[in-house]
Amino acid sequence: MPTIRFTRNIQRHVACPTEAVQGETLQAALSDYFARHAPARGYVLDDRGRLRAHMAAFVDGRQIDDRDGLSDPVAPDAVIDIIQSLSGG
Amino acid sequence: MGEARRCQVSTRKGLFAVERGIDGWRVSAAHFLGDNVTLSMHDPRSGHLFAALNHGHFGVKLHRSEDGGATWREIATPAYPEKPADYTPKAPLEGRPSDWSLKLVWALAPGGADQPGVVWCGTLPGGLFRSEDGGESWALNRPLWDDPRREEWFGGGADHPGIHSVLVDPRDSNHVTVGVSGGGVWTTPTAARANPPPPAWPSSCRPSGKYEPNVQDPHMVAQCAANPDVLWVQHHNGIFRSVDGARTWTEITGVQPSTFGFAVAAHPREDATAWFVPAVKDETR
Repeated sequence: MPTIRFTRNIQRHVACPTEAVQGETLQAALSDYFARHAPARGYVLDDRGRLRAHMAAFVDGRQIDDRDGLSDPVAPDAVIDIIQSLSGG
Repeated sequence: MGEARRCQVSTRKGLFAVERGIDGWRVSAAHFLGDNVTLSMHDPRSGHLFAALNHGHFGVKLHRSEDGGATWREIATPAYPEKPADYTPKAPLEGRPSDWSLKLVWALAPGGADQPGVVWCGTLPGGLFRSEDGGESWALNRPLWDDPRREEWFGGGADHPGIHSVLVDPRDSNHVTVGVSGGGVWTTPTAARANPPPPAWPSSCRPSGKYEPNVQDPHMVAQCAANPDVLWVQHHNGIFRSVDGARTWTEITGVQPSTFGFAVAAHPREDATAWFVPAVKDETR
């Protein structure tokens, strides 16, 4: 099963422990995760279900292509990382 | 809670309760320390406190405290409906279609005394939301959102138009006045009435639309509690007062040192008194 993990920074605001998830796309994997951790959803996705503007998602170290539809494929043993973008000086 | 002795101060570094004691004012509590608290509201009906946070990367959140700030719980955040697939904006927001997605909570107001649980929320981009359960769920006011004139609104100092003032008439809880930057002042005789008429507006912040009430830039609107037909506006272009429930406005000129500013507070009993914070206008920034 794929694994999803989050940076420590977001966990200051909402609980989102590392967990195994089900799903063959990022959208499916996140839906599975947020079904168990509903409060975390709004911290990662906006009210349109898109990846928030300053959030980034990686599947096996590769940044995803589809930030709106989250259709990027997820292999059975993939590691999904959700982090906040770094910007500014 | 002693309302006259305590105020809540929202800052980019947290929410601070400031209390007046024998020796003067002092900070008595700090909440959300280090976080950007953009707005807070005390509900005089329930005593509950509401705080709006903007976490930047992680979005806008709302929290509520039912024990004076000792503990807080995250509640629902207003969410925009799905934009219809065949939707064609009448006048795209400054050349780009408006994004039906929450950008900022810019106003919170309790409903009337006869509507316990009702809370109003104004947002960017230009949404008026209403909760009937103390913020556990929200519904977008569709008559205002679906009015084609709404799409003519523009962002004043922000990338999106925003509702910053929501005033509930103490005589009629369904009569709500809304201030929009930059979309003028709107009144809804009843909360459900479609096509709320904008009032006549005498000032201008865009030469091409000098007398268009729908593209004005009021910075804040305030209402006299004892005489709700009296409203005050700190507009981008000056100070205005209405004595007929926002139907007509009279500009107040000659105010020193400046008629420009953002904040206004109306005296709750004296309808000829309001407070403003003068500022320097943008031409010298």
